[in-house]
Amino acid sequence: MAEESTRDDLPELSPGRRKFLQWLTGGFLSLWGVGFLWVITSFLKPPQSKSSIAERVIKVGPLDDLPVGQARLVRRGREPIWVIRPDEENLVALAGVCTHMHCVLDWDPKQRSLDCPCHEGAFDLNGNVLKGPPPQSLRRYRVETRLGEIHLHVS
Amino acid sequence: MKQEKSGALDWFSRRLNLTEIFSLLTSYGVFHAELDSRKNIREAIAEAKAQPMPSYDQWPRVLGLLAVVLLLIEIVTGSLLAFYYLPTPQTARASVATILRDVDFGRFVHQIHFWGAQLLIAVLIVRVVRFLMKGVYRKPRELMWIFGVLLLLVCFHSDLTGKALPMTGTAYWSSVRALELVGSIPIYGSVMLFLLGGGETVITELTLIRFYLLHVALLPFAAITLIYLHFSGVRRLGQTETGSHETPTRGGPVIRIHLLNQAILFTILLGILVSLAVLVPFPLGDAADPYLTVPGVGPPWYLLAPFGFMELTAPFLPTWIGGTILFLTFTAFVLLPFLPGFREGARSRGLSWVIVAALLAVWIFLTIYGARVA
Amino acid sequence: MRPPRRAQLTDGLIAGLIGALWTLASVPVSAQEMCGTCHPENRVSFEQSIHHLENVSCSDCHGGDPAAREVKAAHQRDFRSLSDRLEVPQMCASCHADLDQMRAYNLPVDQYAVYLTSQHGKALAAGETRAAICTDCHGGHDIRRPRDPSSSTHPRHIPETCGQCHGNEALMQEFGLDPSVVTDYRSSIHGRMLLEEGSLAAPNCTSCHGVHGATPPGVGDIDKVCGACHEQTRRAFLEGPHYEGMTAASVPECASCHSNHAIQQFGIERVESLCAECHGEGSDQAVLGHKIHALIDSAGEEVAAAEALVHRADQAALEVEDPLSRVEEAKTYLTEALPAVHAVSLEPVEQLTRRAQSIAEEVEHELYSKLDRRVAKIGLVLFWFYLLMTIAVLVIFRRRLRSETEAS
Repeated sequence: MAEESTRDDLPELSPGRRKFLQWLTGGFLSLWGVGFLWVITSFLKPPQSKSSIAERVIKVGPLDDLPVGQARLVRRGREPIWVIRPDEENLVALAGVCTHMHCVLDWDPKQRSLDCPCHEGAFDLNGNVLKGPPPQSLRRYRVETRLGEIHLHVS
Repeated sequence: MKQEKSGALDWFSRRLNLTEIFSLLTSYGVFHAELDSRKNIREAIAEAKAQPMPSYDQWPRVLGLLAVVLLLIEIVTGSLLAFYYLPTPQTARASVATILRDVDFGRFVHQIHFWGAQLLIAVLIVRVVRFLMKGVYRKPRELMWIFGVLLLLVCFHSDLTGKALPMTGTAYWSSVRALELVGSIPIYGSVMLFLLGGGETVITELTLIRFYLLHVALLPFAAITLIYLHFSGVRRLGQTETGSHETPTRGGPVIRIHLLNQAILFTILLGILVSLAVLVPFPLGDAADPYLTVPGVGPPWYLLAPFGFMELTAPFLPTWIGGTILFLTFTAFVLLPFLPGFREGARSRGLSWVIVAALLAVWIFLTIYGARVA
Repeated sequence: MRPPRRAQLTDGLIAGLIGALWTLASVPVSAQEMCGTCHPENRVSFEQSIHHLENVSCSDCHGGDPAAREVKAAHQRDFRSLSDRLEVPQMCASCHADLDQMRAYNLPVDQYAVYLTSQHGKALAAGETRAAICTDCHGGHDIRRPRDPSSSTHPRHIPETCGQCHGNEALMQEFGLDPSVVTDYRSSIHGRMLLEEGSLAAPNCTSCHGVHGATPPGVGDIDKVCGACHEQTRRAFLEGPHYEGMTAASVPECASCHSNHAIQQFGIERVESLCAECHGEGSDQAVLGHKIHALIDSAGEEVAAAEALVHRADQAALEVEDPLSRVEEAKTYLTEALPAVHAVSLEPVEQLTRRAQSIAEEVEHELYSKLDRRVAKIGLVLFWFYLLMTIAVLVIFRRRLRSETEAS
């Protein structure tokens, strides 16, 4: 047709090539959408808090304040942590939430176990499950005594 | 494939008034045809396609759509920022610093939000000046004008409240100056100060959360409402200032051209915004100290002119008179279409560029004076 | 008629009672009681003193009979008025040089012996009665411990106490001594620190001149006196040529540049012109002075620029703890550079300034690259590339559609 020749710069395309070009252009333009989604999802990811040393190591208190066989619940940081003194020299630090439904655990000095008040779960001094529904053992944290003070590493 | 698609459309159209929903969505400048919501969606769209499309050969017509797009960008970036911002005086700056430092693309989103706001206000100002020059306030377009000015005002307030949120030194004192200026206007000022936290010009916890609420919910809602009303008027009246619809060219693929035009516009706008965000970042500044005034900080730039006016007239006019003059000037500006001389006559066709230039010169002079005195 | 027997007894009892009471009343509680009858001011000021607290009595120094209530009776026996100044030091030493007595109070016993070696002691021995004696500085009756803030020998009051004589122009001119030492000291950095800021770390007269052995430090000893506090400076000074040269030429060491009493705080700007003041303008030493000044000055500027950049980065919400601590490190090196100047040689100064400068440059480089955001700018270029291609595609589409619709 006469009008088709007035199209100045666009060559005649076979249907196959046309489809291919369309597909290619579609892919090219959809990169905008991909980029957009990528920016938004990266933005929404909660940042790693670039915490200083002060937040990675918590001073729990003097060793002498924690009697043998007792434990203290450290309430700083993301979750509570139990610091237990099973005997004169050693310290154990375990995560303070049950791996079942995230109830906060209680320390039983007689049984020397961490008991969960919700569904009768219990953990031993290594964090392993003694009884009840918890599916996983408790996370252990590094704890040490320096100059008579208990230092708990929470990084 | 088309069969399935229409199946879906019909499924919905039997359960919802799609035409109504569709016309609501397109009330934001996509295209300007009125849709009869009693008709089936397919018919309504076919009808709309047959209507003439707005043409952007006269480039100033694109300002309205630009404003809508910019507002959309502001809403998206603002919502993203709201995921991390904490609106109390103690945590505000720290949370903004977290966004800038720790969140991926945090700085980018924040800068786009800032520059988008500045561009939005600039676009709206140019739009209002254009209305003034083309007489787009003449009957029956009085409401177009009023909505346009009110939208500009809402965006000013949005910028004002948003600026105060990071609680940095310059932001804090800039907002305090703005509050003082607003407070000097009788009645309106007292009402505003009351709403913003009890009539004081110090930004407390309560004030900050009210700023936050205004910025995040009430003002955007007002803006969206105004835009909806505005385009509702455009649909009734047509786009051009001559009062008649454009001569119809054709239907069919014209809507695709129209959509493509908008896509190109959006792309160019995005380019400008991203370039500004990367090349001209604005700094955060130190935390605000209510007991330590940062020297040389004045109200935000668009309020410098009224501020300059108040400073200029302070030696010989009491504050309340100056404030009343400001208030009356502003009210006259809003109700321009109803003023004598603007309804019919020469001025109804728009102010000549001489007068507009003179008004702008006065505005710029007062702005510079205000900046120097701040 | 003779009174009845019972009445005699009662009379006797009453007389006895009165006599006993009289006797009791006439025995003083302490020896001071009676002296104060005629010398009330002395008694009042004595009661404030440390001697009174430790139960020293008037007669322990003055002799006489403390119980007597009349002048002649009181001032008898071994009474000494101690108005003769030449007697006083020996009097004080009669207790204060006795180890057995002073041991209980843990006080030294060498004050008198040391005093005799001092200028004051020597002058007194030669018969000069205006020379300072114990009571001139410690007070006579109202002696308090030097630790007591109201004592005349408390560090903050020493300039005043010494100034009683050494601030008296006429007196000093008579002896051929510098009359302005006290005013000089008060205007100095040491004086201001002690007297205005109240800092007890600042030296007073006795810190440099000694206490009981008060003597001006001799040439060759002055640097030891100053170096007691300004250790680093002294160490550097001993390494340099000034020490030997100045001692050999009998020129006071520190005081030649810093003066002895009117010492001011020297900043680095003084270094530039100081050498020329003795060695002459244009001399090798003056040139060295310029070079040292240039080293410290340029390092100082670099560190200041780094600090400003850290502040800028903090405002842009970048992480600045690490650069900040490095800037503090650089500033410490700069603070050490000023004492090092006293070695009057380039090398020790350069070691410090070079370290300060390199730290500053590192910090600046790191922060500039963060503030510059080169990565973001490269990203921007790529973005624009992509953007322009997109616009080209869209425009092509549009032209296509336009011509299609024109065709139909």
